[in-house]
Amino acid sequence: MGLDDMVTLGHYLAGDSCLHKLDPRVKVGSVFVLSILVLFADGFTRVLLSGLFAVVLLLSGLSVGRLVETMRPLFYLLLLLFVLHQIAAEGEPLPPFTRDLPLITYEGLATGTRVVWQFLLIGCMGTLLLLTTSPTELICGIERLLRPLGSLGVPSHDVALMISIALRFVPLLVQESGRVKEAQLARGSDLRGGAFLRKTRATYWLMLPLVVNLLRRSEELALAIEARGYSRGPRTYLKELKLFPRDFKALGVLGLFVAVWAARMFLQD
Amino acid sequence: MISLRSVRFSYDSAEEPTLKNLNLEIHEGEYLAIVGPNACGKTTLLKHLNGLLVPGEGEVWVDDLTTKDPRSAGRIRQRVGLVFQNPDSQIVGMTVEEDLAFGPGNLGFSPEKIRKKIDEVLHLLGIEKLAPRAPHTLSGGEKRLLAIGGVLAMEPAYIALDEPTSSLDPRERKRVLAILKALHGMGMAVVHITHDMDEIVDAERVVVMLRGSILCQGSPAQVFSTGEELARSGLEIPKVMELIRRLRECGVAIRPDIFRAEDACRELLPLLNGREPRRFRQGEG
Repeated sequence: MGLDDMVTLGHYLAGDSCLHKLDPRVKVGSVFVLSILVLFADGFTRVLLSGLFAVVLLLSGLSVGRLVETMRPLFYLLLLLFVLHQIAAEGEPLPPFTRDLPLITYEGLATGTRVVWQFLLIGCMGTLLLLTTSPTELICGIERLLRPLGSLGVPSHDVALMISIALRFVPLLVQESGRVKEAQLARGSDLRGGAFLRKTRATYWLMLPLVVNLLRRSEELALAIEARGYSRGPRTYLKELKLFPRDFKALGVLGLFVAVWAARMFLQD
Repeated sequence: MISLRSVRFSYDSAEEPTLKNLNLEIHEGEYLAIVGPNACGKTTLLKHLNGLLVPGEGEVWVDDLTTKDPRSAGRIRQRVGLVFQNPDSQIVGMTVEEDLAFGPGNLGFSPEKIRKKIDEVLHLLGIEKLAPRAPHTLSGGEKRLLAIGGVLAMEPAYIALDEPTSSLDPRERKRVLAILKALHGMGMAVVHITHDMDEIVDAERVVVMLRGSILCQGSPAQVFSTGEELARSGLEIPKVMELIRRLRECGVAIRPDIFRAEDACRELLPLLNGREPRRFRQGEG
């Protein structure tokens, strides 16, 4: 991986769509609420939510290919989830399987598909959030949403700073691991190929200096943050968020879906 | 004024105290250089200036605030800005602009004031173009400027820097030194920690530290005149002064207290002009 790949932090793709312009609080909040809906929704609402997602994806101006590309690591997890449901589920076996060896059952297929669908939808929404929201905005949004929980002991500023530092240090770590790797290659170590055991050893020698550096650096960082006046008290930010009419519209749509879901739940009982 | 009174400090693990009965006053608007070999306690001293470390014995006062009182910590840190050696360990923002906003945000400045401070600092350091960049894409010198900028955005009255030119190339080094000079010109007190004697010729006062205490202090000329004492503490005299010393050893009649290149030039030119300077043709000698 080249360093240039790391210049864009996270997956954010700058753009000008209405989804990009939406207030990060609205986006983060919506993804949170919709994820809960997806988990507890019945089939009908789930189809509606999938439709909503399709519309939002269209609005974002991003291609399905881009979304799939970004989500690729998630697919293995979904596959595993599906397989586990086949193993765990009991019920009517699907021919040619018999009751003695019910590897695949109708019930297993049904719950597997439902669970994968749910997680896929949540994953898609989360990815879309990351693709259309810059890390700065994202942190800002999360911090503002957590702020009211301050009285319950949730340190919203700390959480925001933590995410910010984590994101800031990812590229730094990549750079550093590159340097360590070079230094070890220069001293004749062979990090490529080789048997499993040798690879493991090589990885160990790569990780050791990285971890030591990281610990030392975190100590320095804590000191520097303190020196720059960070404390538990109230603080301010460069960018204060402001809601626009489009944000209220988005919240209206969200409210509509919550209402549909609530109505369906109520009718079922 | 920052005043350190009989400060004694030991780290938990160390047998010998890192600072021993240290007395020092740093005046408003002064350019103070602190020099000394590695592990003489320079960085520990620096951390005492804004209360990151509190002395085991003695006291540190910043104007009318003592660092012993945890309630003054915020105000002291606003007045005394510290720039550490490794810029990568002090930059927290994901962009240059955000990092500059960190300090002012901690002090509770309004968004408008933060914006204003950021623009001022970007302009002062001449790094307006870097504002939207991510810190890891900056060069070593640019990171150093950002680390200094992050402190300047807090409007400190004193700025203390730990070897601000280490691992910089000559051009970046010049730039950092020029900025320190400019800050001093603007009335800010600059505390410049270094072990490069060539960097301190412009300081108003030099403090030489050795093993946790002050060996000697005074103007650069006074400090450099104690050449032997400097050598004892493992420091070298500036290169220009070394040249003058050797010329004197060869019998050239020249004042011994010259350490700036400009002064040396002025003193040496008449001597050179008195004789017929040997002219070199290209390819010769």
